Formats: sequence, structure tokens, C-alpha cells
Amino acid sequence: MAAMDGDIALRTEGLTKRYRSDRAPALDGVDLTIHAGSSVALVGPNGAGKSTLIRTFLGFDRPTSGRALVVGIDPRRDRVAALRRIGYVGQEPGLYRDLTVVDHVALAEALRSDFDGPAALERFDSLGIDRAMRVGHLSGGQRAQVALGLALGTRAPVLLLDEPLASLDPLARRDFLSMIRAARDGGTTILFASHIVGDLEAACDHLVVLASGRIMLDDSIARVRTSHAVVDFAGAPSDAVIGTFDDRAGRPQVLIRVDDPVAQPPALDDVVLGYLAAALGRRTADGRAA
Amino acid sequence: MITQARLGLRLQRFEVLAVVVATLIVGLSALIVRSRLDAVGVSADCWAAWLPSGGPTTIDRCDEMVNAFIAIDEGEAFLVMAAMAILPLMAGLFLGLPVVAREVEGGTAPTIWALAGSRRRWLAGRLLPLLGVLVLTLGFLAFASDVLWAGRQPWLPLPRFEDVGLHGPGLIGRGLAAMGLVLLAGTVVGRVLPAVIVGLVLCLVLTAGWAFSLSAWADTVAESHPKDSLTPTPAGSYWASQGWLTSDGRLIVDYQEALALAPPDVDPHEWLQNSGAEATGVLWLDRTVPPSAYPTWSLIETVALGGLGILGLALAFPIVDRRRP
Repeated sequence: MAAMDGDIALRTEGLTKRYRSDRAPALDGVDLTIHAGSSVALVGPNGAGKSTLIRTFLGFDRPTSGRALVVGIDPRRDRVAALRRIGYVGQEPGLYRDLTVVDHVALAEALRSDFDGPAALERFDSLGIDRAMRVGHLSGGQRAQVALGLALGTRAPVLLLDEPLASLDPLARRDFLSMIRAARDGGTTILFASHIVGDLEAACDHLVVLASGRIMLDDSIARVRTSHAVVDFAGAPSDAVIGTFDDRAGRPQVLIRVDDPVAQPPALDDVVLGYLAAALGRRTADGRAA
Repeated sequence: MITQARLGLRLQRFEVLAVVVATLIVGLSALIVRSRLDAVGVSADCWAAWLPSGGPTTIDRCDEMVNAFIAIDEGEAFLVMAAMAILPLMAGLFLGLPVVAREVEGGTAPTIWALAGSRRRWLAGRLLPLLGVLVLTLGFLAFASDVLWAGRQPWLPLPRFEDVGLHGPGLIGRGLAAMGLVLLAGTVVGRVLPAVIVGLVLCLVLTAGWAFSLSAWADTVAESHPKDSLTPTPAGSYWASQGWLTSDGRLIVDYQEALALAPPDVDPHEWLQNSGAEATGVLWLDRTVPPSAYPTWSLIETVALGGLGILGLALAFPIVDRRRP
């Protein structure tokens, strides 16, 4: 099994997480395989289960049933070994405001013997982040970069990003994404949860749409673009309809599945909107529930 | 480990500084007050003359010196000893509370726990320097409080068995117990303010439980002395309870049980406390613990409270390992 799973970085098998027995599950039988070296965008509305999925890989949440594996290791059984293979950045950078950047690097070196402190400091220098400055005095974008630099400094093969862009301005997002791209090009496996689909497109090669704890779409971004189309509400063939949504101008649009690529591939935003609309039970072109 | 300890101390520098400064102020105050008591220079002859009647005496300047001594003892020394009651609990609370609760509440736990891998190792790295600070500061306080305590009764061969828990190594035990309990509370609750409230309640329970334990222990080791002025209890004894010795040699410590000894035609309360009981051979006793037993209680107190603290610290490890960040 280990040999067969050699190129799999992250995997879930029937993963279900229920926080309360009288509530819908946060994750509902999720089967997901992420190959080593791939960069996966994880998209879904609030409450879709994105954070729960990431926290399960980290061993922060215990599955109700099923399992999650990090490079073949179940964090429930050996969390320390699983975490050795993960770099993590959360929605909040989660840094100590009173410590300096270099203090954080020293702390990471103390906590993890394999932490590459010099590389992390070099990265911060190249980004113009004053290593002697207290984290509390850095901008939000710089704090996110420090958090990402610490995660990358672990040299872990897997990088889990739980909506780290949420509070960043466009400039900070651009810098952050360039670091993500560099990590991807270096062979790091990335699972990147975010609401901002346009940013994900620039950093990821694979798309997973999660809604109500279930996977609605799991495919490469290139294939998603060639196998879907967005058409007017009136002209949609009912048997290919995935979901309907309103475009920016408020016009009803329909996401359909196609066998052959269309001349103008759909924007990833629209694909995600179509799938989320389907998950939310919006009507399809012929008026039936999607 | 050293780097983690250094940075951990820096993260709690305000708490560490507060504990160090407070214990230095109170500890040094204790030493200064002791030197002031000694400087009054009341001689043994003066005490011997003054104590039986409470003065005045015929010895030159004796009354004046005793009054000066009493003024310092009841003023400054009393205040310093009162601080000893609170400081160990506050030190334990200040140092133990933020370790996990602030990490969880402040949102640093996910990052640092993901980075650390082993949360147990992380917690050990955070706790060890704080434990060092606690033991060193309260150790100094224990020493200084004992020095002051011994100077407050220069006429006694041994210091009084009173103001228990306000001096000696028991202070370290109390601090450890407070630290262990609030760390545990903070680890379970994961928020600072609720953990402060839970921690304070636990410290109150601890203090009440400790007083109850002392009373129970004293009852088991107390010596009985007839309650009359002819046979005084050893100077500086701890009064545990009263008791009654029946003519057949039975010791009764329960008041209700003793009342049942009275004949049916008399008021039992009056019979017991006046000469009625004595006339029938029932001896009214004071049950006291001599000052020579204080080191034993101090050891029990230190080990029991310290053990409770270490248990609290140890229990925090599996909880921090399992809790959500």
C-alpha cells in the first residue's frame, strides 16, 4: 500500500466530521486524493468544510469516521510524524506580536531541528521585511508573509493554506502568491483554501469545490476549462446543466458540461459559482432543482 | 530548549517581572523588618520581666523597648506576613495561567502547534523556565519569611506554631499548587478571563481544603493538657480543639458527645464548662500541637501542595495534546 501510495501527498477516505450529532456534518464522506507536487485550490462557501478538512490533516480535528492521510501517515495515529511533513498557514498568521521576526525564526529552529532558518531569513530580507522588527509592528501583508516564510522554512513536502489571503490587500496578495508559486515550482504539494478564485487560478493547477461537506468538483483546472461552458439561461440544454447563477450584470447564466472545448472557456469564477449554485439547490434552466 | 525557554519567558515577561519584583519587595521587606526587630534589642531579662504581667517592669528602658518591638511586630511584620498569604497564590496564577489559555485565545496555538509537532515537548519547553522562576522566587520568600517569623518571638525556644502557611517551604508548595491548578483550568477552558475566574475559585477551594487538612492533621497529633492555669500548654502551641477525659480514661472531642455525659437534671452546657463535670471526674482539656511539630506539618504541607501542583501540571500535558487549538 505504501509503495502504491508513493506519489500521493494527501488522501481522505470516506472522511466524515460531525461536530454535533444534531447538526449536518462538516465533512460528509469525503474521498480526495492529492498527488505529490500538485497545487490544489480548495473552494467553497463559508461552512463548506474547507477548514475542517485542513484541520483534519493537521490532526487538530479527529474524524468522526473515515480517515485522512498525510504522505501515508494518519495524523490520528502519529500526529508528530504527520506534522513533520506539513507547513501550515492559517487565516490569521498566528504569530506573537511581541516577538521579532528573527525571534520567530529562532523559535521555529528550536521547535524543529530540520527548520531552515537561514533560508527563511533570506526570504524575509528579499521581501524587505525587517528581521529585527516586532511582528506587531508589521503590516498585515508582511505578517502573512512571515507566517508563510515560517511554513516554507520547515521544508515540509506539503503546504496547507487555510484562507491566508482573506484579510490582505491586492498588493500583499500578489507578493504572497508569488511565494506560493515559487514553492509550487519547487515541488511542494499545496492545498490552498480560499474564497478568492482569481488568485487561486494563478497559483494552482487543480480545483476542488467543496459545499456542505461534500466534493462537488475535483479536476485539473485545465480540464475544467475545456469541459465546461457558460451559456444564456434560455439556451441551455437541460441534460448538461450543472447550475445557474447571476453574472456581474445580474443576468441569469447557466454552467453546463460540454464534451468539446468551447471557443471561449469559462472563467474559473463562473465554474465555481455554477457548482455552488447547484449545491445550494438553485433551479436549472428548465426550472427543476439542480 | 534554551532558545524556547528564553523566548517563552519573553512572551510572559510582564508576569515574570511582576512575580520577581513582588517577591523581592516582600522578601526584602521581611529581612528588613527582622533586622528592625533585632535592632530594638529587647534583652532576655526584659522579656522575662515583662511577659508575665505585660509590664510595667523595673528594668531600665524595658517597657519602652518592648512597646517599640510590639509596634513593629503588629505593624510592619503583620503586613509582610499578610502578603505571604497571597503572594504564592498570585505568583502561581500569573505564571501558570497564560501558558496555554493565551495561546489558544490569541490564535497562536494553531501555528505554533503545527510548527512544534509534539505539543508535549512544546509545553515542557514553556513550563520549565516558569517553574524555575516560581521555585527560585518563592524559595527566597520562604527563606525570608522564616527569618522574620523566627524573630517575632525571641523569648520562645522554638517559633510559635501559628500563622501556619505564611512562612517556610510551604509557600513554594502553595505556589506550585496554584500554578498547576490554573494551568489545568487554562488548558481546559482555553480563554484567559474565564480561566482567571476558575483559577481564583480553585485557589479559594485550595485554601479552604488546606485549612481543613491542617485541622484534621492537628487532631491526630494533638497533645491533651488540662484546661486550668496550673498546667499551661507548651509556649507557642497550635490549639487544635478542646476535649474531655472521662474518669474511665475515655477521650471525647465531640462537644455533643460530651454534653451527653451530663446528668439528666442539670443544664449540660453549664455542667460541662463549670465545675460540675470536674466534680464527677471529667477533665476539661485543651488539645494542642507543640511548636516542635511544625517542621513535620511544614513538610506535609509542602509535599502535599507541591504534589497537587505537579499533578495539575502533569494533567495539562495529555489535555493540551488532545484539545483543539
